Amino acid sequence: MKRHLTIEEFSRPSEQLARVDIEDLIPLPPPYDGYKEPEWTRLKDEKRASCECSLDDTVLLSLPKPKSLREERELADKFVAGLQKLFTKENNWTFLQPLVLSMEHCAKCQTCSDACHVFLESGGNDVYRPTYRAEILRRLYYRHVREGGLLSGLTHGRVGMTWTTVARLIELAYRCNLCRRCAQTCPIGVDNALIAREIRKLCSQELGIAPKELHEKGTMLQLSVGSTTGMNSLVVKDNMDFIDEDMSEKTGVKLQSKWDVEGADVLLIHNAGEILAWPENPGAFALILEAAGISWTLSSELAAYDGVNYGLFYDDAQFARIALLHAQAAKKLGVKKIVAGECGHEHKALMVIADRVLTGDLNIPRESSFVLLEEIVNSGKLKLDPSRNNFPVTLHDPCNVVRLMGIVEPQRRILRKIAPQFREMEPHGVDNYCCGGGSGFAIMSGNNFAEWRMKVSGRRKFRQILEAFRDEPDPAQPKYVCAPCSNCKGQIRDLFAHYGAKEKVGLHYGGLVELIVNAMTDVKPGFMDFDAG
Amino acid sequence: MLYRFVYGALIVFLVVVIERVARLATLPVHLRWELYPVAHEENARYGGSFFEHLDWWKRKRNTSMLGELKVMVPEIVLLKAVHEHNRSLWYRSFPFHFGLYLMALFVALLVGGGVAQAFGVEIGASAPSIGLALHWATKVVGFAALGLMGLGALGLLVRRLTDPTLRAFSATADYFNLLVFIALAVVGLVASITSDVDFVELRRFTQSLATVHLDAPAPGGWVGAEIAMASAVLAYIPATHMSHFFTKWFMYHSVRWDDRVNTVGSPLEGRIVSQLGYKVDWSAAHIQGGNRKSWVDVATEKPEPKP
Amino acid sequence: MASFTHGNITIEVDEDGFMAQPEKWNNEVALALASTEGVTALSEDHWKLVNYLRDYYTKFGVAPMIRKLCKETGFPLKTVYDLFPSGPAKGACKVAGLPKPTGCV
Ligand code: SF4
Ligand code: SF4
Repeated sequence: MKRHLTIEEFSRPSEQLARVDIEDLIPLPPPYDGYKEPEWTRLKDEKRASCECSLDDTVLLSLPKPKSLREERELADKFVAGLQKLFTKENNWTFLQPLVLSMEHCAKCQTCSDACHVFLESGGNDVYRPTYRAEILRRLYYRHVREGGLLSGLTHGRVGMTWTTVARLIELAYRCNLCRRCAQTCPIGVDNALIAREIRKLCSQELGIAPKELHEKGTMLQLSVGSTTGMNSLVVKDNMDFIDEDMSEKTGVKLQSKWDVEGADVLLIHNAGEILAWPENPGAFALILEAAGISWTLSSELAAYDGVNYGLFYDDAQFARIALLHAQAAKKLGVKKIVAGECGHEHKALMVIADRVLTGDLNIPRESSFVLLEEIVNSGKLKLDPSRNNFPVTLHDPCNVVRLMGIVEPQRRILRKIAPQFREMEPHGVDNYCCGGGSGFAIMSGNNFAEWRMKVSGRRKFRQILEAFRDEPDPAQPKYVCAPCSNCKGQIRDLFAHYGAKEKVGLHYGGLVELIVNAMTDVKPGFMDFDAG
Repeated sequence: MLYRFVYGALIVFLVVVIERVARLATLPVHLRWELYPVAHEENARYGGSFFEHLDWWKRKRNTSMLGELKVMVPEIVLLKAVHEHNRSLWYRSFPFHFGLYLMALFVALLVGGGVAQAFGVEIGASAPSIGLALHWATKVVGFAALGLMGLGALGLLVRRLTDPTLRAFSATADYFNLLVFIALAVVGLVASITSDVDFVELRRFTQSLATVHLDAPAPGGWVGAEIAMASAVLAYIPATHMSHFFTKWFMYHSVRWDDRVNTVGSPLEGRIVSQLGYKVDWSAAHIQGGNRKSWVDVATEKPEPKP
Repeated sequence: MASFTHGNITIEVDEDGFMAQPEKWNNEVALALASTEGVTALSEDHWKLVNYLRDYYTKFGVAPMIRKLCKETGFPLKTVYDLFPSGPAKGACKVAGLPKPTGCV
């Protein structure tokens, strides 16, 4: 059973600070009303003995346990050094102002907790309150950065500065999707998601601690090979060739992707994961752009064929390095604008965050593909037959594009035009809930982390999807969740697999361009094949 | 003595507010981190942004000050966000905050009345027109302010003590702060009911204060205590998280709604360029700033993979 | 890093059960890895798939697109799942000794 946590006990070693019992989870709507989640796969004893996993039922970072008290002390000291750097303008001009504002003004009213899907779906487990990790950092800040001395304990509360605190806090920073729904409801304007990101950042930039999926196999791989997927430019071109061929066969429309066209109007950058995992998406993009007569190109420059920028989730230096490569590729080709494919964090990284990183001739206009697609759909250049999409469709709002960028309507206006049975989830738009895979979780599954992603962080989205299709209980009727974001798609795929939702409810998922192509009368009918895998 | 104390408190209040504003306002421009709906946007109704337009950089932006006001006024006066997202808290928080607003109005009425009195305006239950109006306005606002502030703070304190979650997150100062407001309300009410039911004494005091008659006799007893306490509270507020009454402006305008676009050759770009020259001290293997590298150096180098 | 032992060989694997050192792969290792996927014996079809993956990986340093794999081995996706119940990426690639796929896939 869950119990109330205090802030102070966070620093006290124990085997496991918090646990989510299966009974605590909120029951799902039909047909999952009688469904019981499987029990947690317990972390192996050898794992518990060798790694820091005393936060909750799962573990992401697998930090090796320090060998001695001295080593523990050194690491804790290093954390404090990083904490101090986080509050200097030289080291953190990028986020200092919002950070200080959020550190100093929380009224601890807990309004934000009820906005957080992780907290709610865990059955209200204190450890997942948006405020819990923030309050720990706040107390450390007043004690060790503002040097409040003993008085800070009275005025701001205490928490011990031990290795246990550090190890748990890093781990806890990775139990938040950075969706910022909590920040939206805070009456004061405090941003607990930012605080989670700053904790991640301090650990990455000072201690070199970050999930390997984001750092070693993420940004580092992208900076050296060119893509987080490990594809170099030869492989990616080869794969796109294959996609062209495959698409041509499937649609009856001869297709040839464009590479490195100098002076093209549009440089389209996909999340490269699409090419490997959802090839119909880049294929559909190419088909639409060609049919609409857009002057466009892909780039085979290092990192420029992968719009991913995981730096957004954990590290400003890595962020800037990748953003720079994207801009340089566009500059080299002399394109008029960069267009972000169906990837939420690519949108946010490239269009919003990089805006105050790119200066001079690297500041090339950047646009959302949703907007370009709306223009194309409205232009009448594609012959569309909405009746080809005559099945129930709902739309998932990727947090990065919607709540964090205000791109709300273009994708909906497209759907209203081409999907006769389009219906909204509740809530939607800027009030949406995260898919539960946000901030990179969708690509993390080591140990039993995937279970946490299904049982806790993804549960609200699955609930919303079920509710949206409640009027269509027949599993023989295919239903489509349009999720125009690679990361969200990965999470939704895993959710559907976990719940057997394809068989039990008839749920399918995919992007936006696939629906457009499916409605094109120039394309062989049945582009969207619900029977295939 | 009491006069000096009040002036002193006022100065402390102003100094701390200015210091805090200056500290926040002079921090570097940060990366964009807006959160929709952004109130000055054309489509703020549903949270839309300028990014929804094709070639948005070519379009003239229409931002609306009115839109910001439409959000800010109900937020400040009625605490709309709390009302919407945390109703049970609102029943306690709203009276408290509204009581504080009335408190400010009460002080303004007292000062205004004091100044008027200095100019010979007679104020009281049997005074003509404006004097009568000031008398009743002060009286109604004064009691309402003390009552609401005290009840609201009491409600908040009880909740903080009884709700295990709120308790877990509270530091000693959080209880202390609420107690201070309750005590002020109690002292104020006792003072008014026992010896200053028409606030005549308080008004005479604000008159001397406003006209700097430091040798005028200062009130003692409950009224004196009330004045001293109120001044101390005033000086204390900006040093705590309660400074949100003015820092909230930054939270909205410098963060949530800060969607200023960086354009080539703009002053914003100038600031960014200079900040990109800051030296970096992060020491993880992929950065190794050591206060030698600038942000530009870091961003343009290829990190060494882990050995 | 964890390791597991099957018969008389010990293999280092990551948190997801993928090989930590793909260069140490051989047929025996494949059998051992298959056992973690609930596949007890490797048929000719299994080997065809595994060898294709292995060759592609050696050549390009990354796993092939699933559709490419199906096309070039001639196995429809369903058959791939029949052979390796947890699918091409999580199952077949693991047995072929590829590291865990990276990026948003
Ligand atoms: S972050 Fe905001 S909503 Fe959450 S507890 Fe603090 S003041 Fe309240
Ligand atoms: S950002 Fe999202 S996941 Fe993180 S605490 Fe806030 S609401 Fe919860």
